[in-house]
Formats: sequence, structure tokens, C-alpha cells
Amino acid sequence: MANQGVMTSLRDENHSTPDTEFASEATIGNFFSTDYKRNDDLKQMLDSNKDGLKLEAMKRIITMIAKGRDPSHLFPAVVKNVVSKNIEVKKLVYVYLVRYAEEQQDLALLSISTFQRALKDPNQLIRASALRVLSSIRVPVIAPIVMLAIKESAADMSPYVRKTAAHSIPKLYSLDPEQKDELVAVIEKLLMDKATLVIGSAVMAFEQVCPERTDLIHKNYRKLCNLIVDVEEWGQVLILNMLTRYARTQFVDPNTKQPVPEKEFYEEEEEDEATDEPTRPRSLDADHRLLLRNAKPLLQSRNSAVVMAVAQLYYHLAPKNEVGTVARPLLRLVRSQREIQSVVLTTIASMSVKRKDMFEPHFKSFFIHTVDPLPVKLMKLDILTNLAGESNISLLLREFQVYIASQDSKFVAATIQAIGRCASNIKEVTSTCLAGLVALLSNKDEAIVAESVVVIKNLLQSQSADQEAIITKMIKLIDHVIVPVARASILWLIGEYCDKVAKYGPDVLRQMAKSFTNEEDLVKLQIVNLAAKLFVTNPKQTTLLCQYVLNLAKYDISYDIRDRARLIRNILFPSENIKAIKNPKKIFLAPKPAPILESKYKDRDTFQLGSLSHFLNIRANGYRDLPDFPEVAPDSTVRNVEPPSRPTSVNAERVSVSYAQEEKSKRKPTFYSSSSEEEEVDGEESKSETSETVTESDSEMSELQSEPDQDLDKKSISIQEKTAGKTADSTEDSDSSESETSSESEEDEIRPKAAQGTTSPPSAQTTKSNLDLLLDFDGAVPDIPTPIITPTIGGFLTPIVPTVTTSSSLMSNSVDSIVMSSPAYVANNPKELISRTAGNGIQVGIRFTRSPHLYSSTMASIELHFTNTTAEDLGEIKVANKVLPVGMTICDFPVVSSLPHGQTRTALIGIDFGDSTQAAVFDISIGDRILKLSIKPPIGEIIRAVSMSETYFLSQQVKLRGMQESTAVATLPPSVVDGHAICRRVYEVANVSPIPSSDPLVFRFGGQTLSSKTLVLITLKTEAPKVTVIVNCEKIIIGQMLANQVKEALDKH
Amino acid sequence: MIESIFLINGLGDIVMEKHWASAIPRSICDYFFDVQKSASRPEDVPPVIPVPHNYLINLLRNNLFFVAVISSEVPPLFVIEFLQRVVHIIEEYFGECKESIIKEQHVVVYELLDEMLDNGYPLATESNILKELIKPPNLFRTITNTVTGKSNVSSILPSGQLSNVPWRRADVKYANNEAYFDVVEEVDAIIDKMGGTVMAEIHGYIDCCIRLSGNPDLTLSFINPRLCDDVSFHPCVRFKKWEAERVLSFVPPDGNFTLMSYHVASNNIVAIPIYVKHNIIFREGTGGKMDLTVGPRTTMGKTIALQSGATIPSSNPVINVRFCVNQLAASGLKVNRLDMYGERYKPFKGVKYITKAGQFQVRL
Repeated sequence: MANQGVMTSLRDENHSTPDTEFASEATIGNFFSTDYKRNDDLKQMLDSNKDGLKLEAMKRIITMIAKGRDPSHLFPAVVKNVVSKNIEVKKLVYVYLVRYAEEQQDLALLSISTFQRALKDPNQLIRASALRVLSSIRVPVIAPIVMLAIKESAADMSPYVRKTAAHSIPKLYSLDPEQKDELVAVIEKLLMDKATLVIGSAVMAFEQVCPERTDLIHKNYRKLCNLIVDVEEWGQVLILNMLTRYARTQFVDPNTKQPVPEKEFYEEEEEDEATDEPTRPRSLDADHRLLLRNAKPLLQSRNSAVVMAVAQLYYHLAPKNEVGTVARPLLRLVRSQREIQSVVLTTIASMSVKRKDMFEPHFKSFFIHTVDPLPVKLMKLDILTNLAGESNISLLLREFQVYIASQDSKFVAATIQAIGRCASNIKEVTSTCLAGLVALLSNKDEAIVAESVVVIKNLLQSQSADQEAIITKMIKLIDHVIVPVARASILWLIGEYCDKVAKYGPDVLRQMAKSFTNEEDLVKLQIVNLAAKLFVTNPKQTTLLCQYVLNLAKYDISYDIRDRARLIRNILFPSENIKAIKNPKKIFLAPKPAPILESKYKDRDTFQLGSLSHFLNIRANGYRDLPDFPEVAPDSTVRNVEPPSRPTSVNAERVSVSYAQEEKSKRKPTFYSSSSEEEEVDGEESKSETSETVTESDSEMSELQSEPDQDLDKKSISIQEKTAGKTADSTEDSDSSESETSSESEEDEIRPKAAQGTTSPPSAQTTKSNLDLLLDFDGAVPDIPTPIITPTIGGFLTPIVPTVTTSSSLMSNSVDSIVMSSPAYVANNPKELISRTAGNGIQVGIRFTRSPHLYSSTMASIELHFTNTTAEDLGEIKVANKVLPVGMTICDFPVVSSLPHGQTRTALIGIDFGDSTQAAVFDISIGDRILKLSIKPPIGEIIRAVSMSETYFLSQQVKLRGMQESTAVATLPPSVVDGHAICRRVYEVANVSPIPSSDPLVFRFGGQTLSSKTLVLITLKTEAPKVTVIVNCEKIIIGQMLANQVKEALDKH
Repeated sequence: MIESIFLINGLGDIVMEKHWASAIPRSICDYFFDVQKSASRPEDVPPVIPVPHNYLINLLRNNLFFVAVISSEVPPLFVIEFLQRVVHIIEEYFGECKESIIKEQHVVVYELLDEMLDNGYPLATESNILKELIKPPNLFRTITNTVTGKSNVSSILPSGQLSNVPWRRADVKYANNEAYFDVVEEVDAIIDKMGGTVMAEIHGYIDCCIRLSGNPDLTLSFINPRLCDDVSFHPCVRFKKWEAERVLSFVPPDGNFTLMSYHVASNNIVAIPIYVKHNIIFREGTGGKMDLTVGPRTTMGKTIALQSGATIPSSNPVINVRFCVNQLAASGLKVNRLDMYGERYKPFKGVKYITKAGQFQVRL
């Protein structure tokens, strides 16, 4: 049967394109004649053990598929090669398999185990491609296997594999919709991912599987907004469209006016257009503003779909005075290729109906070039008409005049209609337009005359002056005009205004009666109407004519006309048994409303702009309506992700600080555009959660791509930042977004308070998780100098590091995960940071507490000991100036009220070093003195202890071979003999925790960098007195430094 | 999302087909053929054609239609942009995107499509990544492939997809390091009978040809950056930097690409670099006389080579003018300097300005 298929398709091919065979497929050239033989040949080639032959065969098979022929009968021969070692053959087999597995399900199952094996491959690209193919095989039996594979891949180390997992979700969903619940759980997990590579695909899966689950977006909303600039362009389009719908359910309409204008924290400074209303628009929810602000830079995208997505987002969500920002980028798109042009023009046409002001200044851009294709011309014409106003009408009419001289009659007709619309919309020019149109009546072109007549007819109703003269002129035309619509229009006019042109009416009717039988139906109907109207107003002259016309109509072919004639006859000439109608004039000459001429794009914006449905003006399959804004915004606290991570007293202080900063930045003229300045201000204040987001995604992006000098890069940025912002670094892009996120996070902080103004105060009960209670408990003693005890660590990390402790079922099977553990060793005594002499009597000690800072898990918490050895009492201690390199953030300690003579005070500061050992430099003011502190963390202190099983340790270590492995050999001093002593030395250097080891001579330790949570694995192989130190870490610099430090520690006597 | 892609030539033959979710029968193209036949010119085929159960979104390039079959709501521009990217990639691979080349290169094109789209959703669309996955053909490789029977599939798996600079391939090495920038401006204008400007706009773009080793970080600054206030960038350009300092700072992709495009709108005064003088006399019956003089505007102080193609004078004669002026940017945009960071060598740098006619028409 399959062969038959090939035969027929081949024959088709031969019929349509006899010359389609080309050199590269010369082998298939004589395929037709020796069909079966050739197929056998392919089979043999596939069965051979030479890769070259197999490859050749596969290429020919793929060519067949591409041409639409059906090589499915070769399936058994092809599927065997799925195990081929040759990557080229393998790839083509995959392509084939995806296409035909559905038809040959049983055989396809043979290949499954290969993919299952490949899913465990150390190379991420192989894992990804295995998942891709496995999920593309549409065989229902394997759905559970695919489900398992997706779950595993969604937790993969590599963002690329996670991306592929997201892609596989809709495939499985369409294969087996029963799996939805489980898939939604995976989507939820992927949405929380922080890698920009993954997010776009996660949203795609969300849109296809569970777009109704708005609740999944809440927690990720701010992250999506903040990261969208860095997402790949296709993902940007999907996210923007999804967020448009989301925002419509979560925020109130920005254009409803509030009687009492509130203080606007987030109002944009640079307002392009003056607000036309005296009342101030409602101040936006901070999250609403966040979305608008972060979407704006995407207007500069080279991808028209992205620009369009932003444009529609602004149109549907932004306050009126801001929508104008999208006008120019859209205009830029108008210049693109024909396909893009028509979509963009449709959107502009829709926008211009309601928002004329947006495009009015640019109306010249829509002037029509002769080379434009007709559909484009018509759309531009519609837009021009929408934009017509008193200011530009004279210019427009002059332009229209040129268009009327065009040779394209369809275009001319449209132009005449456009003139008609302008005339009826703008009262000032109605008479001018009318005069112009009347002038057109003497045009040579029949079509133009006809169109003018129709338009004039529409206009006359709304115009009282000159009716008589115009109608008279038109009556004279009746002999020349042959287009039925035009004739009908003239006749209708004569009838309608028969009192004004009473002289001509009967004469015209007489002529028409003569030619009645030869007229079109449309005209005939109007003749009958005219006869009736004339009879009603002027029975003396027209009774006979009218009866004559009605008689003609009585025997017409068209039943419509016969019907009409019968109706009119019974009204006008009632027979005895029918009661006469009293006032026929009221029926025939009732005043009629003037027709309203409007754009055909009116009311199209009920569809989301830029959507397929909008373009076609038909509801497309799967189109989801844009919801209306809610009257009252739903609880906005659902989007809060970061816990109030500091004790209450401190928190209050923090909020006030950020308020002050907000005010400060408000005064700046370019609040949103300046980035460098912003960085300085916000860098200090930057909140843990969001900044963590960025750094995390950064490092994950580069996770498996060895990047030896990331730290150096960071350093170089900071240097350049100082020297007039020269850059030499690839991570700059993310840096910019980082600064943005930090400014965002600042607003997040104030948001609850701002929300209090507009909505009811957020109920404390709902927002408080058990975690907060925990923190409240701690809050009683805000600055405990001791490290935080282990149980709390896990607790408060929960919301920040979702990947670690997600409660979903996904993690239940993986015992092989990383668990935070308490530090094995904590230094008890502070080291001297600033000596008494250097500090002018103030001594500063430093102690790394080796516990995550309360404020953010990416910060190392550092205890500072201030000792006053001067003779006087000093005032309060607080952090003064700080200028930090990019990627580093500091959480200030609460102000210490005083430092009396001879006393020591401690303060706990949190520093996120961004996984570099660069020094954090900042000023501390003590009373009226300023101390410059420079804290350079030892490499071991930017690591946090984590524990895991030995097998997991080994599996991770395997992935971090090669460049990412650093080794050093230490010689133990004779004093160190047992394992404990060795371990202790390691603990002193680095905050790592022991991993159980099956070999007594091998010690393993696990850690994680604070900022990006990169694994750091230390292995010591003892071979007394030598010890080999092996450090596996993706961040090569950290690995090397750590290896050296451990070595030095072990060498020490 | 995109279910299938068909490549259809001007005669209505299916050159190639590729399916994703499941195979859609060829017969769906019949609807397209109907529209194609009824259109007077290929350009008049509407970009979106609704058919029962599906929608066909098409893109016309070089008399070849790329038809994507869509089953449900998706922004049309999303699909159009994707198809455009496909065309672009094929051009990058084979120099041109035309029927004969696609027929020759079925396997590579098929594989490219397979990599670019997964389940109807774009996967890898950056040419530098694709080039690492599937090696573009060149003469040398074609010969070796013929001899050794290898294909163009790369046997080494790339790392590009995962780097921070997804548009740049790793380990670029050149003997001569060069960076060329072409500032091209197209003037769209309508000139009326009296020689007055009805409308004039400039669409400019900067095309680059960059062959630099390693990972260079370039900064391009302009003397008068305020001129371009409506811009779009290649993703490599750091937007923040532009916002703050009006300089283009970027790590360039390797090879040819469009760095930025800008639009100087009709409100600004655009200097038209040429003048057209005409004198047409129509006589009843046969004949008539037409004088046409086209020359450079002296104020611009540049010599212009001209080619003019005039439509046949009719009731509404319009002259579409084509011209090309070298070493002039009509908007007055000027590159100030190009700095390179991150690499030690000294690259050879060059900037060229060209002003061309876009849709430049003169009404008579």
C-alpha cells in the first residue's frame, strides 16, 4: 500500500514538474522507471555497515520527505539506525522518526530505549535533542515515559535542556490531555526558572496548556517584567501578549478618572503629550507601572512582532497620555516589507479611529505612493481619513485631488469615498468637498462619476444649502450616467427632494418610464419609489405616469419589484375592500437620518490588536478575549515574592529610607532613562530577591560554557564604570538589566504602602506566612551576634530558592538534591580589619558568621566589631557612603546609637559579593568621624555549606571535569595525623560541609557559592604525607583560588 | 502555532514541505493556489488567508511563497517575522534564497527548518548558532563531502546556544581584522508639480561587515546622534548605553548584519539631493513633447550619477526617480569614531555613506 502511495505521488510529480530533478539527487533521477529496485537499493544501503552508504540513503530519504513523497515503507530499515554512532546519520534518522513514528507505532517503540539512554548523557545538547525527539514521537503508549522524561529534564542543570522540556509540554498535552494536572505542575516549576533562556518557552507552554491558570503568574509577574528585556525575541512576544491579558484581570483601568488626585509616585516625568483632561488620571499600581516601563525599551527591537506586542500592550493597558509613545515605532514598521506593512497598517487604522492624536502629527507618512500595492493604498486612505481634522484638511484635500487623477479606478473610488467621509465629519469643509465632488460629476470616467453621485447623495442629507443646484446638476446627468448605483442614487434624490426640484421630477419620471424595462433591478426599484413619491406630492401631473410605472412593475421578472409595486399600488390606489391609508406622505417622505460615514476599522479593537483575529476581523480558533479591567483591583499582595526579610523594627527604618530615595529620584529629570546614575543610588539599596534573580540567570547561562574570567570581567566593568563607562565585557547587557531590577525592587518595597492608599489595606493575616512569624520571633532580638542556627536557614530560604525546596511531587523522587547545612566551623574571634592606629583610636574587627544574612541568602553576613579606644564617647555608627562595583550589594546594619569610650559594639552587615573576591569598599561614619572600610572576603567565605549524598556528589563531579577542575598537592606537616585535623583545617578556610565518603582516605566537602548557588565540590585524597586537593567548580577562578587556599592551609605547620 | 511550512513557486508548484505536529495534506495548498491565481500580481496575494480550519500566512520573496499553516490564534507578525528569518538564514547559507537553490539543497534546508522550529515554536534562529549546528556549504567542503561522503551536519556540538552572547560564535580568528560600516539612507519623497516637497522621509540603516578575532567590544559614536530619535537595534546593542550616552556599544556578531535602523520622519526638514525639471506638452491625437532634466542640487555640493525611469505619461504622470549618491548621508548623520575594547590588535576600520532613492516620486 505504501508503495502504491509512492507511485501515485511520483506520477503527480512527473505531471506537474517534469524537470524538477537536479544534480544532487541524480541517483533518484531514474527512480520512476525502476521504482522497486531503487527502494531495495535504499534498504540495502541502510542495512550496510558503512556509514557513508547509510548517510547517502538517509539524505535521499529526507529529500523524498521534503518533496512530499512517502518513504514510510522504509521505516523498519531506518529505525534500526537510531543507534548509529555517526552523529550525522543519527540526526537524519531522528528527523525521519519524528515524521513517521505515528504511522508505525509498534516499530517506533523499538527506538524508545535509545532515547531514554540519551536522556542521561553528560552532554546537554544530546539530552536536549533526545527529549525533543522523544516528545515528538506521537505514540500514545509512551506518554508516561515522556512525562517522566519531561519531569526529569525540567530539573536539569542545563537551562537549554529545561527549555526543551518546556517545549515538550504542549506536545505531550496534545498527545494525552489526561496528563494536564501533572504538566501544569511542571509548568509551574518552569515558570519559576530564572534563566532567560527558559522563561519564554515556559510561558509558551503555559499559554498552550493552561492559560486560565492566572494564579501561576502572580508569583512570577515581577520576575517576568524584569527579565523580559533579556528573553529571546520570540519569547518576548508571547510574554507581552500573555501579560496584557494578565494585567487586564489584575489592574484597574488607568483611564478612569479619580475625583481626588493622589500623590503620584510613579508618574512618568517626560510626558510626551499634555493631558487633555483637567482631572489627573488614577495613579497606577506599581506593578502595572513596572510592566509598562519594562516593555518600553522593546519598542527598539528589530523584530516587528515584538514592537507590535509592545504597541498593543500600551494601547490596551497604558494611561491615555502614554499610548502616544508607540506611534513612531509603529510608523517605522510601516516602511517594512509588504506583509508586515499590511498588518501594521491594519493596527494603525484601528488605533487611529479612537486615538487620532497619536498619529495626527505624522499624517504625511501615510501619503500614498504610486508604487504601493492596492490593499496598502486603501488602508492608508482609511487612516488618512481617520486622521483628517480642521488643521490638516486642506492639505489632505489637495492630496486627495492628486489621487483622483490616478488610473486605478478602485483607488479613485475609494478616494472619493474618503472625501465624502471627510466632508461629513468636518463641517467646515463640507461645502468645499461637495463642490469638488460636483465638479467630478463632469469627469470623463464613468466610474468616478458614479462614485461621486453616490457620495454626494449621502452628503446632501446632512447639508441644507445648495441642495437645489446640486440636484439640478445631477438631474442633467441622468442621461449620461449608466452605472446603476449612480442612477438609482439620482432617482432617489429627486424623489426625496421632490419639493425642491418640483419642476424636473415629472419629466424625469417620464423618461424613466420609457426606459423602465431596460433598467437594472436597483434602478427599477427607485423608479417605482420615485413614482410613488411624486404621486404623493404632485398627483395632478403624475397620476397617470405613476399608474403606468406600477403596471410595468407588476409584470416584471423580479418578484422583488412586483412585490414593491403591489404594496405601493395598494397604498396609493386602494381598491374598494381595502381601507385607504390616510396620510401616505408620512410613509413615503418621512424624514430620514443622514447616513454616518465611518471607518471600516471602527470597533475592530474589541479584538486584541496585532492578533490574527484582529487582522481578519473574524474570531480565530483559540482566540481568547481580552478581559475588561476589573472595577476594583484584586489583591495585589499575591504578587509579593520576597518575604519581609528583616525584623519589623529594622523594616520600618528601611522603608523610610527608600521613601527618601524615591523622592530624590523623582526630582531627577530623567528618571527612567539615566542608568548610570540610577545604579549608584539603587545599587546600595538593591533588594536581594530581584538582584539575585539576575545574577543567578547570568551564571546559569554560562553554566556549562566555561567562562574562565567571569570575575575578572566583573572587575573590569567596575573599573570602566568609573572611567566614563567604557565597556569590555559581555555581561554588560545583563548588567543594565540588573540596574533596572534594582530600581524596580526598590519600588516593590514601597508598593504595599502605595497600595494602601488606593485599595483597602492589605490584611496582615493573608500576607503572613509561617515564615514571617518565624522572623517575628527573631525580631525581638534584631542583631544577634551569633550565627543563625540551621533550622531557620532552611526555613527562610524557602521562598527565595524555589528550586531547592519546591514541595511539588517532582522533587520527591530525587533524594539526590542539595540540602543546606550548618557550617562545620565558625570563627569565634574577630580578625582585625582596621588597627587602632590606622583608625585613629577606633579598632574594627571582622568576623564572618558563615550564616546567610537575614535579608537575602546571597549575602554573607559579616559581624563588625567597633572598639572605641579614644578618650571620648563617640556618636552613632552607621554606613555612610558606598560606591560598589556592579553585582555587589550591601545591606546596611541598623544604626548603632553610640560608641562610648572603652566599649565595643557589634553590627551585622550583609554583603552580596556577587561571587567575586573583590573588596567591598564603603564608609562608616562614627559620630563625626569617617572610617573607610574595605572588606575583601576570603574565597572560602563566599561559599555556603551544603550537604548531599555521595552518589550525587560524584554525579555532579563528573559534570565538572576538565577546565572546571582545579588540583593542588599539599604536604601535611607531621603534626597533622588524623582525618579530623585535616577536615578542621579545611573548615577553617572554607565554609563547606562534609560529604559521607566510602573511602576512608578520601574526604569530600560540598559547598555552594552564595550569590549564584554554583556548586563547589572539594575532594581530598590523602596519601600521607601528601594530600591531593581537587576542587570542582564551574567558576574556574573560584575553584583555583580555593584549591590553593586549601593547600596552603594544609601545608601550614 | 506553525503546523507546516510549504514552499510554493510562482507557477503554483510545491517546491518543498515540512511538517511539525502532524502532517497536513498538501491539498490545503489548493486554497492558496486559488488566491494566487485570482491575484493579478503576486504582490496582491494577501498575507493572511483564512481557509476552513486553518489560516495560511505567507511571505513572498524572490517569487517564492513561504506558506505557513496555522491552526489557531497567533500574532500574524510573529509568523511573518519567523518566515522572514528563514529566508534570511537561507540567504546566509547559500547566498540567495531562490527556487533552484532550495531544490539543490533540500536536505540542508530541511534540517535548518527542523532546528529553527520545534513543535511550531521558534527554537534556534540565530545564524551563528545554526552555522555551528549545521555547517554552511562552501566549495571546499562540498568537494570533501563528495569525496568522503560526509554531510554538512556538524559533528562537534556547539556551545553558542548557552553563551551570554548568543549571536556570536566562539573562537573567531581572522588574519586581517576589519570592521566596515555602511550608512545607507533611503529617501522617500513626493515632490509636487511646482518642485515643492509634499512629504519626505529618510529611512536609514547601518550595515556592518565585521571580521574581528576574539570577542571585541565595539563602541560607535556619532557626531550628531540626536538626529536619529526613532531607532531599532540588533539585539547586540546595549540599549541602556544608547539611552544614556547616545553611543552604540555592542559585541558584534561575526560577519554581515544590520546594526541599527532609524527613521527621520516627515516633520523634520529633509534636504532633497536632486532636482527634477520637466516640461510636458500633450497634443490632441498623436505625439507630444516631453523635456526632462534631472540634476544634483548644488547646495549639496556633490556629483550625482543618475538613472531615471519614467512611467509613460498619462492622465496622471508620475516620475519615479532612482538615484544613488555616494559619500553623503541625506540626514547629515556622521560617524564620529569607533573604539574597540577587549582585544589588543588594531582593526582596520571603514565607514561609507550612501544615499539612495527609496520611493521617490515626482508628480508632473
